[in-house]
Amino acid sequence: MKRKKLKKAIALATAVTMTMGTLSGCGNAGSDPTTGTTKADNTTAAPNQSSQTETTTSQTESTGITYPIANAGSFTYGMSLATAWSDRYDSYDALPLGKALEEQTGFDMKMVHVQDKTAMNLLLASGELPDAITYNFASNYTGGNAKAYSDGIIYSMSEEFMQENAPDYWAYLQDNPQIYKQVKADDNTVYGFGFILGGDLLKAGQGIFVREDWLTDLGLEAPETPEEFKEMLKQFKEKKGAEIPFEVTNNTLLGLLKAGDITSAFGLVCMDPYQVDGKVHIGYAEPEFKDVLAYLNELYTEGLLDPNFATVDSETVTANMLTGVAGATDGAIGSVMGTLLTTNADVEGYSLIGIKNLVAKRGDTPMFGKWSNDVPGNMTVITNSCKDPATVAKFFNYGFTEAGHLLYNFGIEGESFEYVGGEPIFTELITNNPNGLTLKQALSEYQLAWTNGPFIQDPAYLLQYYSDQRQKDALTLFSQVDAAKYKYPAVTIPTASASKHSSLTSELETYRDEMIIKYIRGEESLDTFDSYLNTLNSMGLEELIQIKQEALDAYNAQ
Amino acid sequence: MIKKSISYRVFTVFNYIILTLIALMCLYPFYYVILASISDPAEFMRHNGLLIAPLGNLTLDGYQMVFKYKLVLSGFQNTFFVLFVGLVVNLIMTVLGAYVLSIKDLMLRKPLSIMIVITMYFSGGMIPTYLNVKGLGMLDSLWSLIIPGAISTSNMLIMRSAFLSVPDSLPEAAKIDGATHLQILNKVMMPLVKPTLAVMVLYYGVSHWNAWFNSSIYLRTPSKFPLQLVLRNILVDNQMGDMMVDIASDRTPMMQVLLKYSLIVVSSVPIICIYPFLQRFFKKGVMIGAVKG
Amino acid sequence: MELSRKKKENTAISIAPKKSYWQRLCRDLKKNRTAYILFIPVLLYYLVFCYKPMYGLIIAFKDYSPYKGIMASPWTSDFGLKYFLSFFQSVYFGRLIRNTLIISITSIVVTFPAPIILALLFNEMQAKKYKGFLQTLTYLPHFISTVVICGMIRMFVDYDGFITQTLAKMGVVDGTLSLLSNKNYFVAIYVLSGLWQTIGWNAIIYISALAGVDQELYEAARIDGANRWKQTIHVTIPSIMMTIIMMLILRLGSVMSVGYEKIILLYNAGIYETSDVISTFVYRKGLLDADWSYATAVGLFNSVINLALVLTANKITKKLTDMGLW
Repeated sequence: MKRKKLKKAIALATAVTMTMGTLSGCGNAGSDPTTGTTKADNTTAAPNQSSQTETTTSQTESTGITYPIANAGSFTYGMSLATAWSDRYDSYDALPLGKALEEQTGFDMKMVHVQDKTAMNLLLASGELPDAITYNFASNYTGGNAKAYSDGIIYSMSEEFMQENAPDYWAYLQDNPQIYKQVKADDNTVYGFGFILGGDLLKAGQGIFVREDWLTDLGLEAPETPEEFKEMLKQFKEKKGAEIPFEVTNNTLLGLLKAGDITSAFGLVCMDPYQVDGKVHIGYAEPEFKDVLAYLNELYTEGLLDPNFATVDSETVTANMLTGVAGATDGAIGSVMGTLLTTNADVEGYSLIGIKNLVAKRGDTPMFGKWSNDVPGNMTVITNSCKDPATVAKFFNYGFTEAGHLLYNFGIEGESFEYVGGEPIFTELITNNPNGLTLKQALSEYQLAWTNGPFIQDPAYLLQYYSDQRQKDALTLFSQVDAAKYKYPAVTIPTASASKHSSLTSELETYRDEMIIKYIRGEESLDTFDSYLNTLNSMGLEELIQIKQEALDAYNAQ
Repeated sequence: MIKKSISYRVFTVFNYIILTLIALMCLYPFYYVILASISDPAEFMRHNGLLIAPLGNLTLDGYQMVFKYKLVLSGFQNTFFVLFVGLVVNLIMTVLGAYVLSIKDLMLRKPLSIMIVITMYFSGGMIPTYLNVKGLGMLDSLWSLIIPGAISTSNMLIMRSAFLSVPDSLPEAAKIDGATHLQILNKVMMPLVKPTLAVMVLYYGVSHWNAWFNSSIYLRTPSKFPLQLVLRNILVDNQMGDMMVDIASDRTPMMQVLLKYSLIVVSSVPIICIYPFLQRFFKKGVMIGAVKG
Repeated sequence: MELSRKKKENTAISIAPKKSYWQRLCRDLKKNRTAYILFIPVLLYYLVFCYKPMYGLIIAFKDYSPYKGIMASPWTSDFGLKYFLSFFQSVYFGRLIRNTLIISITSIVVTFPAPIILALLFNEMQAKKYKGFLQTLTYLPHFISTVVICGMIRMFVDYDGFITQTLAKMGVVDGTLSLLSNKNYFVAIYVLSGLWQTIGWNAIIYISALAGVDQELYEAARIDGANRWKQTIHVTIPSIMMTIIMMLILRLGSVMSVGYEKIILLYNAGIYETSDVISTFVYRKGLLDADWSYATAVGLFNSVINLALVLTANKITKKLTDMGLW
């Protein structure tokens, strides 16, 4: 199973580029042995058949660009510094990755580095823009990509321009209309080169973890329903001496509700806004939310949920999970589960497994889980200050060629990866760096998949990154949800209502967060849930839903 | 007479006890940070309640991790440059401004005072300030951390009140002797405001030492970063813009704890050391000699 | 002394024609030439770094977009007041103002006099070396970052923390929950920890002011038969009054500016009712970076109130003591 997935992942991500025009001048061209397996693998059981954004193969013809480009010249490139390498290198083009990029494309990057989003917004404000910028306009620039475009920052690429100068990217977008929709403006021009998640595995990644060794000792199956989950917590408390069987911080609890990790069981998709057949719902204002709160209140009253969840910090949660004070928590596979597993690697028996998001009946598929958009937000744009957009576009097109895909995801063959059994596998230089660099530091010198950039992120990278089989299993489990059906997409709220949208959101959520704590702690009886709903309405819930609905309609109409 | 001295003696005893207790309470956070930086981090994380002595096996791993970062050394250099050059600029500008605004027969004294007080409440904000610094060609230069913050208005007001509290008779006398304003400032006033000047050194010095925000928006080359920005980057470990992938922490929670507390010790000890040197300016009776002389 | 001079000035202006003011100014510029020359660099600094960028304030009235720039950005709806109205009309406006004022004023009442008292107590201490040592200790918390200090506070007031347990033994609290779960304790925790953080550092300015007190005044008082207490009341405090007033006025100028960092590290949604202030609300909106206009509008609102408070305080102290900002 695992083996198949790995193969499929690579196949998916390289599928498109495989079929495209000539690729030359780069060491790895033509050496990818997954060629030809693409079609067959696409028919194997994918974890998420429901996904609308599966990458599909295609035979799109493209003119093709030959790299390296002769006399490509130089361009200025704005980007945030990454602390993963900034203690060893002054700029991106000094990294092995940057040097390889320059060599393989024939371009000379002149970097303009800023510290963070504040500095980037100031750079934008200064009016002197670099030729290209990698930035998350969607979340850091009021009004997102559309506003950056209408403000005149972005040189938006027309169809002809794309065919001419970014043929590989264009072909990919044509084959994946869902993704095309996420990177284009109303006038059908494309904002820029998105950072694209190349598979559903990359979109999931958060859920509930429990002590596997305790489950085994107690002879319990991994719980799937709220009743089973509660029973498990009870036994953890009584038989395993866990003082706080279910340990979460307030933020984790909110995150768990937003991602719908337990809500499916009560007939609610999640606490966040979601959509059903094009109709917007806001989870925390749905009647089913009451049952979710009632369940959490039960856990609280019976001492199964940390009585101090409102004030506990994540350091304490980690400590409690490591020492057996707690037996279940919620979080990300890498930063929470991975950290716990590696830290306690030498503690005998200590083991964690991810459990399925809770459902009403054993065997049901959860409606929702943590689910990123295909284009999570980061975008590399060519700016209007650029004198020669056509040439610069060719540089970024490289990320969507086969060779560029390999470079951005795995780095340099023979240095950061080797082909093992036909698949690019990271070398010791990355996984066990001789100079004592951590995995992330080592990765950051050779590839960009650990963060973001103008390319398709390869799931195979992530599966190598999650070193532990239990993490991979958890990822499979967490990605088997119907989230794609309900996800409220990354729409752009029109400038006219953006301010109203943000103030309504923050006011309603302030009230929601206060009431959640009160309901769970029983300071407020759930009998007052109707008046909670009324208050939400009086605060402008309808208006918020309407703004979101209009934005969604406009998005779907594209 | 004897009764008085008994009550005063009782007071003195209490005074010593109270001040010692306050000092111990204030010492505690720093003591705690030092203990945390050398304790066994796993035990430290488990520990609840007051920490009195180091836990488990002593370790210096945290400090090792800090000094392994190449930028720490250049960070120290950059910070010292900003600190010393910045202090000189700060003191000259502050003293000049404060002195002139303390001259009582200056007709423009009030309008000028109003003008500077307004700037404490209204500022153009980050964007025009940034454009200003850029326009002056100071981007990615350490001068951007010195010149735009040459004067802190509240510090200047404090300095001015020190000049104002010098008895009028002293500058008057000098003026009658034909001294210029620069001479009065230099010869008469400066010796009298030494304690406040020491406070200025402390206030400006500490703010230079702790500053990181301006460097995060004005500087672009890591080797120019001052210490606090370097340390912040180690600790916060930000990604390029924003992290898209869930990355397991490079460090175990224990290493993270050790690193955090070692960083705090490394970044605060040098600046704490300057206070005892400044303290001698706070001795009583600084005025007397000057007034008599 | 200054007062009387000012009266003279006023009458001069009202009687004499305008020209004579300029004449006097010219004479003053000439007479105090060296002083004005000394002020030139300071004036330049304020013009270039404070006044020149001040046009940036108008983004509070505009839908600012970075690339268009401040001038070219369009005015907002509602005659440029969109962001102000959006803030004023928020359902939480009243609560935010109330919490901000309560936290701020309580802080001033508690943490303003404390460093003065501390400095006076140090002043009574004779052992010089020991005194210097203790003083150094008291200002250490200033150097520990807010994040760490707040981490310690949270630990102390956690359900098993030593403060909670001590209070529980005294029967004040039940000792099963963190004190930060209870909305009634937030202000006390915030203010008292603030006292702990700042008392030593803030005392430095008074300690330095005490160093400047003319020792002959004490001798005179002693000859008049004043005991230590009376000397403190009649000599020490009046001698540092100028500093106290200056610090008080400066402090009043930040009544509306309760920073978000410490509160965010201490509060939780369960106690928003008493802990949510203007800055934390704006912070949670996620607008500090992305929406410059909104943040500037709120900042401007705070500044106006702060300035009004300072001007009032200045006027009052000027009336009472003849000391002030100008």
